[in-house]
Amino acid sequence: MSALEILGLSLLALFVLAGALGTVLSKNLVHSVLWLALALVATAGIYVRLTAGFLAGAQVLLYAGGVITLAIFAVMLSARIEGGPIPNESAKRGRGALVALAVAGLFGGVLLQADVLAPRDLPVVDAADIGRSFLGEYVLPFEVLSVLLVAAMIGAIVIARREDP
Amino acid sequence: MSASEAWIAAGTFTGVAFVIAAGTLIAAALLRVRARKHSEARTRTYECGEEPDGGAWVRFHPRYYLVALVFVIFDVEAVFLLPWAVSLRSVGAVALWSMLAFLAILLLGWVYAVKKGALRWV
Amino acid sequence: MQPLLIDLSIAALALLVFVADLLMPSEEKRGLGHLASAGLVLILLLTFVLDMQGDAFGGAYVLDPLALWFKRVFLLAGALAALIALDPAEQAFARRQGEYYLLLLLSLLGMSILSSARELLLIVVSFELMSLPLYVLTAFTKSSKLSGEGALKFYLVGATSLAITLFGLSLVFGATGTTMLPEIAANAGAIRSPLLVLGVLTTLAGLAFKIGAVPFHMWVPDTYEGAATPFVGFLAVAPKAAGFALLVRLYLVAFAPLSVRFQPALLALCVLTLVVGNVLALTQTNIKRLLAYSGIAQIGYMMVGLLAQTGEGVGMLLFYLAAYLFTNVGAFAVVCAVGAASGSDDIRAYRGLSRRNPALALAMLVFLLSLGGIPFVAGFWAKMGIFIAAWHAGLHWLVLLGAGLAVVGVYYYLRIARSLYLDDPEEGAQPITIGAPLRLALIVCGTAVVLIGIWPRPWFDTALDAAKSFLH
Repeated sequence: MSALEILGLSLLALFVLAGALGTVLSKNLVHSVLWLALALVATAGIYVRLTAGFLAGAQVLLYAGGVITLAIFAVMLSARIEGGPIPNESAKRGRGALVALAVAGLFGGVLLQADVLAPRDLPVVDAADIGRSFLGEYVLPFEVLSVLLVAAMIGAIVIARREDP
Repeated sequence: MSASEAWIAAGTFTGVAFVIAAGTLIAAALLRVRARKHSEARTRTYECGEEPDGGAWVRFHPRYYLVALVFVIFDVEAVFLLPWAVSLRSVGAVALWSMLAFLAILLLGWVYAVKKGALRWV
Repeated sequence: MQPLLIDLSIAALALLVFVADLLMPSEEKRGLGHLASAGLVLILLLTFVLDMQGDAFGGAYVLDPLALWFKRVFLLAGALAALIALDPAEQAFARRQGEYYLLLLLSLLGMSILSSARELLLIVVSFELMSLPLYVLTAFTKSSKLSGEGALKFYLVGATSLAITLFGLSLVFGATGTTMLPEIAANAGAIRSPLLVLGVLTTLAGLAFKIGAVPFHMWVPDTYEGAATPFVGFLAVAPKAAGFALLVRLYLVAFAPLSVRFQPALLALCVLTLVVGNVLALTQTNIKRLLAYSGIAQIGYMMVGLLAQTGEGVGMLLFYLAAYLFTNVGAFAVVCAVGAASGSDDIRAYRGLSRRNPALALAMLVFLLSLGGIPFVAGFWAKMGIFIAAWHAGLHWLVLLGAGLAVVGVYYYLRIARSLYLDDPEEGAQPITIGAPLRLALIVCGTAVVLIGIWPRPWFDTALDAAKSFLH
């Protein structure tokens, strides 16, 4: 790994971490969502490094584009938004930090032991490869996914509509 | 492009983006374009030069959420359409039918949303 | 295509309900419940008539005797749930009945595919297809605040547990390089990567949330209390059964070479679940919460069958699930009737039930006896079989612990059973009348519980057969 690459990766990691911390620690719920967007976009950067360009594009389009929009709307739907920002009321931060550190320590320890950090040549997976795999080998999960999307859509409409008793 | 060249390109791009964003802020600070500390203009909602009408913290109508939700579902569909389109030639007729089945099922969701008036605006 | 026939039929039935819902005027939606229920019974009969066993998609999907047993459990649970919901659905959410049955069917489709899945991606997608409609169905009674709260807790826990499961499975994929369970089973023994162990344990934690094992159980009582009662019977049985189908396929087949590594974790979960479920059930005064904690304890007994890691253990687990299906769906059907009549789920509403409706009280007595494992109803043979299988597998102290806790269980079940007959009804309590659909469901469940109790032989044989052909 060149020094430049290490710098780039460290920056990305910093952004992911800052975004994640901002999401849970920010005092304003809308700001939390924006911090989350930063973390998600920076994750896309990591996908680029892993030579999964298509996945990175999908990440930006779906998460930074779709999910963040949806989350903002969800926050702005709340009756509590009238008259000012909703405070982020994450309680028990001390205990949360403890759990987070413990989990990070466990996973970090295992990852270091597993010797996955050694640099190696990653295969480049482009959109066509992904297309071939979900139209071939994974065609059944792909079709089931469409049913899942419809179920999600119908379910959300049932919950969100106000007309029905 | 080799891996390190790609990193230089990506880094340059990100750097330029940061310089532009930070540059405007720094320039504004240097030129002292700012409202006086306690003026009314400083706290007012910004609406592209229009006179703001009401506060920014208003409750949205649920229909925005419904539309955004349907958008996300079809966003997912769009993400699947691209790899399908570029691999169609190499996979053949099966690909066509698989995607048509996928789209047909998703279309049912859309029919439901329209039929039940979830996308009706008024 | 032939092995897929059952799932394709469920999908076709869901499509039929969907189209009928869009075309029907909103006053006649009750028919959709009849359609869903009758359709599921028809598919259930189909599984006995046609021989469709085999695999498809290169082994990613399989219809073996194990999958078939689970599919029958799901179909029966779905048919009973639709039947029980007929009357309450018309009162509580008349205009959304179509969506109710549609989402029920879609969840059922997810479970059914899950029980056949032998490939990680298919497992994840079908797992979500099962779970997502359940969150919506829990929130279906919009007028009730508890319903929304229960659904939110269920959803948050469910989404988190899915993330944990996904992360675990991604580690498994990373370590083995394949998503096919048979290949993972073939490779797992030779891989010395700590990533694989971490993945296997993380996946277990995620799945423990789903089946409501202690200490991942905190959502269960609130969700059961908040959700509409006709739906809770389904929620307490079918998704749990699906969770066990997945546990068997992952932990007894794919990850079997690693059993030394995850066995202690599974054992700890099992002991905690048995103890906490039974002890906390003692203090409950709301029947739905009581049945929730008793359900947690039942999950503990099923995990004993899993821990045996033998064909016999799996067979007894299958038998337990069948007995549990009839018992629990039946018990919640009674709760549904009493709740509708008295407007309360407090256990005081069950005082003197025998004088308000003798048949209903008798049905409840049978279900409570079966839950407690009293001879000779279905639940007795279920617990017996699990304990014998575990004893054969050398888990002697676990069997003794389970038997001791079963006695604790008998106490809180019989406390209600006693008050059904010996206490006086509350003042002003009216006789309870129940509608025809609910009566039919109660007759089916009650008869099955008694029949399995008197003549368990054929059930034991088929269950053992289904498991034996599975664990070579």
